[in-house]
Amino acid sequence: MNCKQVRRLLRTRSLKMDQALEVELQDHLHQCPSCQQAFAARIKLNRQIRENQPLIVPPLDREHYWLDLRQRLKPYETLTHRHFFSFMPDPALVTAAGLLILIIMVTTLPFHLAPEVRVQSSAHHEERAIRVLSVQSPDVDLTVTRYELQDSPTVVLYIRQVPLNLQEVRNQHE
Amino acid sequence: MISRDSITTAINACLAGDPESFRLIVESYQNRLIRLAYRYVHDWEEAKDVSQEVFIKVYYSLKSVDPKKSFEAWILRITVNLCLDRLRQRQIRYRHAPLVEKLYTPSFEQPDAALQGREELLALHRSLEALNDRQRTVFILRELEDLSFAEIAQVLRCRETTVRVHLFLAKKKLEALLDHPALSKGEE
Repeated sequence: MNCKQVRRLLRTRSLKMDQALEVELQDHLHQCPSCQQAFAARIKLNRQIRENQPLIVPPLDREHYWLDLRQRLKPYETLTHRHFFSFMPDPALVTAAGLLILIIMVTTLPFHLAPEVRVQSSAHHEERAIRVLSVQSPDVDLTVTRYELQDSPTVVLYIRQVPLNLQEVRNQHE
Repeated sequence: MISRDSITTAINACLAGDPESFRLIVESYQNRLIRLAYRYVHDWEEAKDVSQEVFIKVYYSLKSVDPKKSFEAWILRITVNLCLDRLRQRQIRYRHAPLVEKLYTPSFEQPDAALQGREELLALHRSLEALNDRQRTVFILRELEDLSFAEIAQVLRCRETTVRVHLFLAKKKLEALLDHPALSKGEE
């Protein structure tokens, strides 16, 4: 028997072998301190495994265990059988949340990417460029548009088609 | 062991609004889960608590049970993950404990009265703590819980060859640690 065969033998779980093989193994172990060490380590580990294996669960009061679990399950039970749509919040809240998200989106989006539109200013009859940024939400049926006048700090937020009697809103920031 | 059909029937009954039918699943697996959890947490009460937490998770996820996949592998995977979570929480607590507590608090509980004082028996538990999560799980499932490589691969969602490699590495490490117990303390 050589070192390779010993290492292969060590990989087997039980280390069971016939007498002839055992004699061969013993012969090799006498000559090879490295295999002797590896074999001793494996024997020690196997003994530890054997001693730890028969783990008997202490007697369990099944009724008590089940009742305890049922108690802990109670808050979850309703969740398990609840219809998905019962989680949906009030439509007014959804609308308000949608509106808020849109305003945040419009006010935070990079404005320089918005298309430039040239318009005739009514006050001075001169052509001015404005940038228009629109975000639409089909979920809540509304459109938020942000206009920005060229060379002017004025920003107009224009919101339309809002359900639930929300009025048209204009926010003017100077 | 409970058959796949019985599990499916029990799950369907639960989903139809009969939580009592969940008892069949609980009673079929409770001992096994407690035993497995104990291998990690080394405390029977905590192992029982982990097993209940597993059943709560299972109950809560009954809708997502895939009848084509192994229910047993799934429930064992939940147990292993919860146990590893507990150990991580324990490590965090241990790390933040005052110095005196660190010096006198054992890193695991005594298994039971019969094993108290048998230092040699505890050596394996102590060495297991020095393994990484994968190696420890593979070793526990294979050598202590006697699962096949295929079953472990299902639990860990990996290939059988990966399981074999983890087991080989775990054994090598354990052998070294059992020979030189100081190594496991030094690694902490």
